Amino acid sequence: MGLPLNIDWQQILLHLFNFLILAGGLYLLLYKPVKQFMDKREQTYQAMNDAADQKAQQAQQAQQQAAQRLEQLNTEIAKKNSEAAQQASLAAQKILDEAEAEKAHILAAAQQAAEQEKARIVSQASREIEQLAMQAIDKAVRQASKKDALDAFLDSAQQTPKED
Amino acid sequence: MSKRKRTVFITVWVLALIAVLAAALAIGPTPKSESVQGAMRDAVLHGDNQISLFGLKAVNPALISGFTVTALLLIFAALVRVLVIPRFTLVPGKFQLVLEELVHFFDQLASTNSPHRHKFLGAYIFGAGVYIFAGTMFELIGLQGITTHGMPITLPAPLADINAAIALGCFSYLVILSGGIAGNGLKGIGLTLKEFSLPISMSFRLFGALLSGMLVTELVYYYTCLSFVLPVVVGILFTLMHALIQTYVLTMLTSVFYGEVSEPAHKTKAKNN
Repeated sequence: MGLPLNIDWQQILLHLFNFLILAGGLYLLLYKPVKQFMDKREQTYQAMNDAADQKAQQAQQAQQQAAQRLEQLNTEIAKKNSEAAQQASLAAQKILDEAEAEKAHILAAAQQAAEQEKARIVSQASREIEQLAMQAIDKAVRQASKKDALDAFLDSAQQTPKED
Repeated sequence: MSKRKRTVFITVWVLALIAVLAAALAIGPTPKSESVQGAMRDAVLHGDNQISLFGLKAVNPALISGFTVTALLLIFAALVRVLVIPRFTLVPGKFQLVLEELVHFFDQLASTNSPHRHKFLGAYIFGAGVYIFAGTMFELIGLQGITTHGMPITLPAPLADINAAIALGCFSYLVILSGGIAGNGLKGIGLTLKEFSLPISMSFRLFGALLSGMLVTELVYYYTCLSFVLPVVVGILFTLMHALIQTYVLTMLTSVFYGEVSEPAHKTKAKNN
């Protein structure tokens, strides 16, 4: 008794054999190479994407480093400015101190010079008075014979200034 | 083309159409070698019109169609492999895009429905899908074969034969079974065997869909009065449509069941007291 619908096991197996050849051939000739190409292209684009991401990350890191460096430099500049201002202040103070010292020194020297000048003038005046006195004495001595000589001497003596 | 020439061309064309139509109606139908009932019965059972397979055995014409389709597809694939694929570029051209879309469609179908295990499944449904589509479209070519009785016969779609449908349906079931074994071992066999009606339903769905298309086409071509305009719709659009639908249905069903039986079992958490 045959199977219904003329089902033939031999032909089923022949159809299966035919399909297996086709499926294997299509896999080897079309599916595998096309899929490999698509996977390879995906990997290529993925690698490009990764490289771009890496570069972006590196750029971001460099930007962060530059920002940090800039901040450090600003801090350093502020510190240097502060130090420079302090040093300038110290230098100005030193200059002022030196000027004060020089001023005192100049004043002392001037005072000393004035003292010396005064002493020299007084000494010179004393010598001049002495000379005047001597001249007056000489003159009085020369005019001793005369009655008014004494009076003149006394008058001259009274006119001579006293020493301090 | 000038207006006068165009008018002359259209007039000649219409006259030729009328002449051919009148001649066809005047001659009348050729005496039928078989009745419509006989033709349809033979389309289903292939009891009379068989073709000799290299003189070894008389087989259904669909088996010859299957071999022919396989040969054509393999020649095409070999030409593509040798001439086209080595010239693939990163930015695809039109033909490359079609090939990539075809492969991507079946690969995507496999990976979507069976995310855990889909490498072999993708290759299988690609082969099955291409075979069903190309085999169904093959009947449009209208290649002739000679039966064992010496009568010419148009080679049908391979899967319009119950034997081809059973072969593909049962093999798809075996593929699903292999997925169950690979994914879940003995449990996978159990899961697959639960769907024992699957090979029958897949086989007969495929057979029924393609056979019904062929029967309608056969019926339409049997009568002369139905042979105008209607075959454009029935012969081409219906064939194209059920080629696409059956390709999608079988590959989708195989993927879904493969994905179900190959999915690793989830471990149930021990209940806390």
